[in-house]
Formats: sequence, C-alpha cells, structure tokens
Amino acid sequence: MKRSIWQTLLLWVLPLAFLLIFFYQPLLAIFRLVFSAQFSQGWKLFRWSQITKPLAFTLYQATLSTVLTLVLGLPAAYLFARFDFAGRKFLRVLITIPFILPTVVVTAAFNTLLGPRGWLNLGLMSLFNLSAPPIHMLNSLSAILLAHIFYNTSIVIRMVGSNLSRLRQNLPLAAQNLGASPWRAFKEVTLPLLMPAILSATLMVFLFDFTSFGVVLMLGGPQFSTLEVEIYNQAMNRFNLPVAGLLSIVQLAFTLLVSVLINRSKQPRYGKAALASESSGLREARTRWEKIFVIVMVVVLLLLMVTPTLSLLTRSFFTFDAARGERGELKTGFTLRYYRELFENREQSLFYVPPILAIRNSMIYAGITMLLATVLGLISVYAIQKSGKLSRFLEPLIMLPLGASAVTLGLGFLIVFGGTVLTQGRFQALIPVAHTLVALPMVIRTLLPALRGIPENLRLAAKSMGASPLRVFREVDLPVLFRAIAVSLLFAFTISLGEFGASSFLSNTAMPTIPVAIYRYLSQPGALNYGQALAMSSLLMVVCVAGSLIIEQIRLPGEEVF
Amino acid sequence: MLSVRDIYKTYEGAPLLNGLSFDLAQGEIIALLGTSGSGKSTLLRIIAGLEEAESGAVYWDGVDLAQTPAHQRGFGLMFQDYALFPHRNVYENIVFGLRMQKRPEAEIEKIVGERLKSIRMESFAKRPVTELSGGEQQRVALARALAPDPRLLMLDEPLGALDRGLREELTKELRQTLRDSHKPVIYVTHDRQEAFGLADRLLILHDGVIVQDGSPQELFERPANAWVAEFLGLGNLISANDLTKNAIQEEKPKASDDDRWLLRPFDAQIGESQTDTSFQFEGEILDCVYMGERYQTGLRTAQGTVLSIETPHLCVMGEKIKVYWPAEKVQCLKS
Repeated sequence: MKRSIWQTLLLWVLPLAFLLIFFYQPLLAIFRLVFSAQFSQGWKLFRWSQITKPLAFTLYQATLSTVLTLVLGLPAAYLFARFDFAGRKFLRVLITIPFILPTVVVTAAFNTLLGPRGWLNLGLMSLFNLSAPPIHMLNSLSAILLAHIFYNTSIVIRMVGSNLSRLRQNLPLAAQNLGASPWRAFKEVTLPLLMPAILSATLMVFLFDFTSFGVVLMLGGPQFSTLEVEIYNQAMNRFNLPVAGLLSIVQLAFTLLVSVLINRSKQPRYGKAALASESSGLREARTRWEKIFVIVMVVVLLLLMVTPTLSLLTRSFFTFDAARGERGELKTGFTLRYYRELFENREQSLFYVPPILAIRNSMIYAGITMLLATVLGLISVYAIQKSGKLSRFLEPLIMLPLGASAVTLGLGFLIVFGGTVLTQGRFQALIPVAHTLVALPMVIRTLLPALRGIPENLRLAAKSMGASPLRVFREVDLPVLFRAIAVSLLFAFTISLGEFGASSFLSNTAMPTIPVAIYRYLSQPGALNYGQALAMSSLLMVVCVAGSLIIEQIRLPGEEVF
Repeated sequence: MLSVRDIYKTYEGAPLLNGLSFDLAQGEIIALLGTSGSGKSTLLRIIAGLEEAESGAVYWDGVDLAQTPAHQRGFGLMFQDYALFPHRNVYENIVFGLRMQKRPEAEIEKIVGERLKSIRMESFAKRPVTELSGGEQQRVALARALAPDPRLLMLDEPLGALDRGLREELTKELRQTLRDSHKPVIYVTHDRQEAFGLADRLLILHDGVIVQDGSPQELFERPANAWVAEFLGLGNLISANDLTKNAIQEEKPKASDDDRWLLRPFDAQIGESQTDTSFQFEGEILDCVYMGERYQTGLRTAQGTVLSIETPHLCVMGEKIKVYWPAEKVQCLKS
C-alpha cells in the first residue's frame, strides 16, 4: 500500500518539476517583477491608461467579434444540423479548416484576399484601370473582426450544431401540439434547451478572441493594441518589463475567469431528456424560404470561410509585378518561383536567413515538442489516474498553462532566463519548451479519456496471468492507447509548427521559426518577400490541414478536445 | 367528428400508410393496434398536423384540416417518450398549453391544481420532470395533454415504456381518466390486452390500411383474416395443406390453398369425435403449463405440426392423445 503511494508520487515528480521550472517560475517572476517595481517606485511607474486602454480595446473587439461570430455561426449550425444539400459534407470539412490554421497563415490568407496586393484589389485595379489599390481593409478593425469570425465560427457550428441535431424532435412538436406556433415552440422549447451549448460556445469564442495575438498584431496594425499585443510591445519594443508584466497579470486574471465559466457551463444540464444519443435525420429544404436560407448560408460560408485560404493557395502561384529592388523581368502569370526560392540561399537577400533554414528550425522544434509533450503527457495522465481524489488538486496544476497565453509565457521566459532582452541567442533551446507548455493541455485531454476508457479488469486479468507491471503496460495499455498517442504526437507537432506568440519572443533573428519568418517576410516590402511568405504559408497550411485530417481519421469517435 | 380519408404516406420509398381511412364518433375510445413500424405513430402525427400526408385528408366535423396548422387544431397528443420539457418543472409543463391559450391566470391556476390532484401529484408541482419515475412522467404527460381541454385526445403507446406490474395498475387508472374526460380518444398500442381493456372499438392497422374495425368481441369472434387472428393470438392457424396431412378424420372442407383454419385452444376436445365433420388430430404431448384453472398444452402430430390446446388436467410429456375440434367451432380465414 505504502509502496504504491510512493510510486504515484514518483509519477508526479517529472511533470510537476517541468511545470515548476518552466511555467510557475516564470509566472512568479512576472508577479515579483511587477510588485517589487511598484513598491520601490510607489506605483508611479505606469499610467493607468496604459492598462485600461488595451484592456478596454481587448474587451471591445472580443465582444464584437463574438457577437458577429454568433450571428454567422448560429444560422450555420442550424443549416448543418437540419438540412441536406449537395456538397454538405465537403463544405463541413472546409469550414473546420480555419480553426486549425496558425495565425500567420490566416494573416497571409487575408492579405492575399484583401491586402494591397490581394486578389480583390488586383481585380478592381485591372477592371477599372486604377493605379492604386482601392480597398484598404488591412490594418483596420474590420480585418481583425473578419479574421476572428473566420477562425471561430466552426466552434459555434460544432458545439451548438451537435446539440441541435441531437435535440429530441418530439419536444418542439409537443409544444406545437399544445398550441404553440412553430416560432413560439422554437422560442419556448428549442432555444432554452440549446442555451447551455450556446453559452459554452460563446464563452469559448470570447476566450479565443480575448487572447488573440497574431491576428491583432499582423492584421490590426500599430493603432490597435489588445492586452496580448501590448505585452509584446512593452516587452520587445519599449523594454518596459514591469508594465508588460502587469498587463500579463490582468490578462491571466481575465482568462482564468472565463475558463472557470466555461467549465461551469459545460456541465450537462438536461442530459438524455433533451438530447438523443444519435442525431436526427437531415431533410432537404422544402419551402421557398428554406431554399433561400440554404443558398444564402452556403454562399456566405464559402465567401467568409473558404475564399481566404483558397486565395492564399492560388496567389502563391501567381506573380503580377516585379517589385522595387528586383531587377527581374516583368512577368504576369503562373509561377513556381516563390516555392523554388524557398530552397535557395540568396546572398543579396534583405533577409538574414534563407527560408529553408526556418523550415529546418521549425521541424527540429516540432520534433522535440512532439516527443517532450507526449512523454510528459503520458506520465501526467498516469499520475492523474493513479492519484484518485488527490488528482482533483493536482490536475488543475497541470491544466493551468492553457489559461496563460503564449505571450505571457514568452515574457516570463525573458524575465527568468534572459538577463537582458538583447541576449536572445540563448533562447533557442526554450522554444520547444514553450511549445510543449502550449501543447501539453491538449495532449492530456487527448490521452486522459483514452486511459480512463481501459477497464481495470483487463489489467487485473493480465496480472493474474503473471504479467509484470511493465508487461501489463505493453500488452494492455499500449495497444489501447496507441491511437491516442498518435493523435497526441500529431497535435503537438502541428501546434509547435504554427505557434507564433511565444516564438516571437524567443526566436533569434538568425534562427526564426516558420511563423516568425512568415511574419517578417510579410512586413517587408518586395514581391519576392511577399511571394515567399505566401509559399511558406501555403506549405504550412497544407501540413496543418493534412495533420488534422489524419487526426480525424485515427481519433476514436466521441473524443473532442474542445 | 373525426374522419380520416385515404391517407397515403411513404417511408424510405415504400408505402407506410396506403390509403387508410376511418371515423371516430363523439366520446368514443378507439384503440389502434398494429405491430411496431406499422405507421401508428406516423398516423397520429398526421392527424395532429405535425407531419404531412402525401395524399388524403383529415376532417373534423366535415371541415378539411389541410389549412389548419398543428397549433390551431386543438388535438392533444401524448407522445410515446412523453416529450416532457426537461427545462420546466411539473407545474410549468402542465401549464404550457393553457398559457398558449392565454386563459386568465386565476383560471389557469385552478385547472392545473385540479389536474395535479387528479393524478395525485399535488406535492410534485415544483419537481423537475427529469427526477420523476416512469409512471410519474406518464401521469404528468397525460395531465399536460388534458389540461388545455383538447377536442380529441391521442395517446401513443402511453404505457409502452413501463414495466408490466405498473402497466396493469395504470391501465385501470387510465381507463377511468379517459371515461371521465368524455373526449374522443385514439389509443395506439401494440399490446392487445391493453387495447381490449381500454377501447370501445379496435382498429387493426396492417400493410398501411385498417384491416379490421370492430368491437373487441367482434374481433375476437370473427377475425377478418388469418393475420389478425395471429396478431391477436387467437389460436392455431393451420393451412389447408397441413390439415389434409394431419387430420385423421375429416369431411373435405372447401377452402383454397392460401386459407387458414383457426383452431382455438379452448375449443379443443380430448378424445375421439363422434361426428365425421370434426377436425381430429393425434399427437404427442410436448409440454404442459399450468395457467390457473386450466393447462396450456403443446401437442405435436406425427407430421410435425405443433398445436396449442387447453386441457383441464395435467398431461404427461410424451403421452399420446387424440383431440378434435367440432366443425362449428372452426373458422376458415383468408390469409
């Protein structure tokens, strides 16, 4: 008995040590820095507006984004839960893609659609013989909102849609039978029963919008600063770490609050009385209004959710202008040049590194992250499972990093491991560590249900036949966990490949990751830079989409990480 | 009152209801009997206006209801799964229909109070419906359907989800409630005991049409065809062919090959018939089960046909006996 307690504690050592050093220590350092600075300088180090302004804008844009996402997502959830139409399944897959895309890819995609060199402006310019791009959508609030809608609509569709399609059909029909008009039945019965799912989805979308970093930084431009962006600005551009730290604390407090609300809202309310285990059948649109609804929704979804990625892919194969600084021939049309350039080292390039180096860096980091996160995750889930009641206190310790943003992590690393901001060379090794912290909660959420699904009797049976604990793990646990482990590896790999927030803090100028390189290419002038950013983004997108499709294939049904 | 005419409805390409018609008079309780999947529930939904028939019409007092949406029909339907609103408590469930009718609040309170009292659940008013037992849910669903005073009440297998002991108890209670309501009632079930116990008239639904419509006694004494007899479990159904093979002594009955002879177990006589017209069999006792007062006995003839008979005394397994049915007790049924 005593021995097993020690064994359990031993399991906790490694994950807790990792988190203590790389998560709680930096977090604590941020707190210490902020409060010691405040005490020594009497709270005069900053103006309140430095905090309230970004906070107000963060809340404002997050609220607006969430409302707009619901405006599109709720009818879309209804569309997919009720109606059958040609291409339904394909569209369903297409609209889940945005959610898994790295922020730099989304930025690049919107750039190719709405930017000065994007399809829309190019089209309008050639159509009306304009010399300058007529649409200035980038660096505006609408660009941020569009990108947030693009990102998060699929959350609403999935969370609300799955409940709507499983809602017992007899309930609204019973209301109609008791004298309620179809609209009244929807209002009195369907809507209240969907409310928990709508609330969960709303909070989830709000959390993502609230913590959005890359989108705001790259699409919003300098005049828009959310908490995340302001942390980055204060730390990286003004070297004002105490203010950055204070912003981090405010940010952390808000995300924790929303996370707690999300957990509360996820508790099942009516269970089987409201939801059937299987979804009810789809039907074709019958009345004229239903047909109009289906057509309008499909068109809107295609425009908002599919055109940006499509435009990125196509634009990366087209050249339109020989931009300044390049002596190339003026050629318009299909080209593979941007992709070829990825593998060439241009000595005279404005850039410090050839793109292939960024790809190599990212691959190494992603490989390390994948192994580190999965091994730590496996140990953690066994620790959680073996500790019984104790895990109720220990589990949140492991899951908390999900609440902290990557930017906060990056800032904490700077403070603890940095000495000065300028000595960035030493941070390279910390990138996979930061990525592991970002990926760990996802990995645990993938592994834990799989581990809990193994009946204890199987292990006892193996033991009774004389298998050693290690043998039991190999013969019973591993075959069952195999899929979940594969999913975890892929999750961690794609998360690391696309991670931007922490990497933007930690990566050396000479050793960028793919997203950091894309960010830099995008912010530089020149058609070649632009093309290379697009080619790299397209490749990253293809890898992420492929990864998530494979995850969908090998994931056991009923395991949703969100 | 209610007239259902030539209802036609397909399910996944095959006809489910195939030109079905029937009538219902004021205060009459009819039971609609059919196997599961025969379209009973669909028929109720069509009458309630919750589903559309592909052709045919539903009339109330001669008025076609095609243009009347479900919520204006005033037909109460109690769903098979009760469909109680899980986000509302017992009181809020029962009050729903009354609120939709915009009755004055004082009246609403009085009606709901009476309803709760009639189902002996006054103290349950504030309970969430998700915490009720199956029997309690059934009562609340009935109270909810009756509260807005519908002009027609339809019940879809109201006791189907309950276990047998509770079912027998609630059948009596339900009979009383339905009689007291003086409303026309359509009661859907696949259980003949329930149907016989509750209804004035029985409609048998088979292959998308009403194959028989009559009082319990009529159905019992003169089943319309072999399928009805088998569905109601009236007794042995022997094909003309089997009869020729098995019967020892018979006057050649006139019947086509498809017809079935209905031999009711309690009409079986032990021994040898004195007349030539009787249906005489000889066989070996397979089993013998005490059913209270009489024994239900299985008999296998030399040709392998198994007959069910009722005997006044215990038979020994393996014993060879002779039985016969007097000709006047035997019915020839179309298949």
